[in-house]
Amino acid sequence: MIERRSTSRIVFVSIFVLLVMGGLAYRLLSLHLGISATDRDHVARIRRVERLLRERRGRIYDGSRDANILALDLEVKDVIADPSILLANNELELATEQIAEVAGLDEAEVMGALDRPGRRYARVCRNMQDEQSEAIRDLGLRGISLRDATKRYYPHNSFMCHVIGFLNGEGVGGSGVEQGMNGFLRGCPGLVESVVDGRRRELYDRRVQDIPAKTGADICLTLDQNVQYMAERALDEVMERHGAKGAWVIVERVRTGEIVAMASRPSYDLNDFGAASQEELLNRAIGFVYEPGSTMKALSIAAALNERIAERDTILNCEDGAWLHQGKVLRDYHPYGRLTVADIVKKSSNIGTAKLTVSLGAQKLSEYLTRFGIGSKTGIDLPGEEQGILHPVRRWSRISCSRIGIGQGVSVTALQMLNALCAIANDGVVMRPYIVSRVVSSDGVVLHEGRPKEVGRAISSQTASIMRQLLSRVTEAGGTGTRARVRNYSVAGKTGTAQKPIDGGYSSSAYVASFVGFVPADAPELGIIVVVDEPQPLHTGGVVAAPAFSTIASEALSYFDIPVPRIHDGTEIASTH
Amino acid sequence: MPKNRKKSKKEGYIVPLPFTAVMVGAAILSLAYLRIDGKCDELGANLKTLETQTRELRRKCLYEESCWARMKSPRGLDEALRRWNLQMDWPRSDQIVRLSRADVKDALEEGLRENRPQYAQMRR
Repeated sequence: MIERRSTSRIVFVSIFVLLVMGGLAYRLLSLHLGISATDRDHVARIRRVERLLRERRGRIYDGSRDANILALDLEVKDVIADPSILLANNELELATEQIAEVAGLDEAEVMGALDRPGRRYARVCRNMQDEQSEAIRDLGLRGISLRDATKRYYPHNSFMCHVIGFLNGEGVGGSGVEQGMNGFLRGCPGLVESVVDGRRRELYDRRVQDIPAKTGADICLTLDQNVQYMAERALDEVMERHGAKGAWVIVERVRTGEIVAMASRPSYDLNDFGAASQEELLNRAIGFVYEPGSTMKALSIAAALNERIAERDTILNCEDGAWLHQGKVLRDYHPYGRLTVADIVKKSSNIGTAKLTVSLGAQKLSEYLTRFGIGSKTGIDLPGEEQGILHPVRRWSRISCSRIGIGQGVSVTALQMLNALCAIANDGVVMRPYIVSRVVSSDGVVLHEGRPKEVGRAISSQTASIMRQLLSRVTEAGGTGTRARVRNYSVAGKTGTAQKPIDGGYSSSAYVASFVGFVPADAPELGIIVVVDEPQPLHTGGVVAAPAFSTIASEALSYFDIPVPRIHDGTEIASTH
Repeated sequence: MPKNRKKSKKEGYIVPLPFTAVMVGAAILSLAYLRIDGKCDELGANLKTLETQTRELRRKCLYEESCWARMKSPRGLDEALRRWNLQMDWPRSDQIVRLSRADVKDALEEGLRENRPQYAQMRR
């Protein structure tokens, strides 16, 4: 009896187990095979996940040996809230108070973001760094979470701001290299397409697609952060000492056209570009057009010498400071009688220069200025470059020929002016200035390389040589640019003091003071221009801009270890303050 | 024969061998499945942790790089020098001592030959 009962139990349990297993097997089979196509698609859709992988934007480096980082992407956190959870738990005020304290935000601002009944999503604050985000996580607030985000970060804040530019809210370059090189810098997002289990955990072996994000290409600039710093420091000093409205400087290698430094004031913080005004955002070095004044004489006299209108020792009558030409009187700053062409450059005589340009003729003058690049963009790889104003000859007035030669009635950018003077330093050959030295993709392939490019010849090599000698006399005793001198080196350059045009005339109180030159005068390496907008109360280029030129040139020559030129008997050229 | 029948009755019900084999097989398969599933879960969790760690380390690395870039900027160095009342400037050309490779080589050979300290020829 007992045996029979035992047997029947075993049979019963076995049948039960078999039934259960059979049921499970049936369910398994029906799930895999018997499910309708619609249901199968629905399930597959639910289980499939697509995750977009954020791309990293390329970095920007300077051109020094150390390749210093100027811009990079940082991974940060955004604080996200679910206001409905906070409200349901009655933790709104607590969360507001704690988040505001940790993040250093205004409580009203946080409350504004959180107090939204019925909403399931609110962004409380963006771009939180490590410590802050960890502190918020440690608060353990229900309904508050952190989301990974990327932030474009500029470690040097306002340093080099006009060249680097910024990335706007939509992730597109808004100015400078960030804008000009946006196509190279931006990366390509990646994609992970996979399947999750019932608990929404990814099944790694079921990844359908795994396309890694492609990092954007890195940009190496020709700018050297050390020279840039020298330039910016000098500019800050000029701004402070002369209470100027603005100031800008460019340093260029005369043989190649490489821009080594480019700075503009006022500046702005790249990490807070939203707070910057239009005035601050403007890169004056390429985007501000001004009448160059006497610095233009270097080009017009070079043109006259190249056309053999005069020799360096030709004497001209400077009319004792006032010359009536075409019914208008032209004056010199200081009255002069008879001056050689060399002294006209040295003393910066308006009348002497005007007489030369009148002899040269409007057509020729216009041709030469065009060859020097006046009136057209230089082609630098930066957005926002202005082309200046050089009207066609047919629109010139009776006195234009005499005025344009001395830098009135013509407008230039600082880069145009510097590049033209660098052409004189470079044996008459105009180079295209460039600021991007290399573009390297994330896998190390060089996509673009900036190379020196000749634009054309403006004047002959002989004329350029004569002009270098004449311009080096400007910084000698009796010249207008003595304050531009650099210890142990000879400096060639030209001062410029231009009244600002207002309402069809010229202002008697607002000036643009400038000095443009190159060093060493005998074997030019660096071309530098310093422009100061509305300096007060002193306003001449020789007093305001030349000292800044001297400071920058002196430091840059030391930094680049440019040897002191030696004359033939082996002694060094001694030119001291 | 009757004796044998009695003995088999004492031993009770014998589960058929094929059935036992199926059950044992199913149990082994189940255990193996559980083991593999557990292992996969563990690997998955490991992957996830490592991915998170990698992301975290990359983030920290970027942060450190940005700090380093800021510290070694000319302005950063200038501020550090000022903080310690140090005055430094780029040397003038006449303050630089230049050593050419040829000088070093000559001096080295000469020093070795004469068994005395080696000095490179200085040129200012």
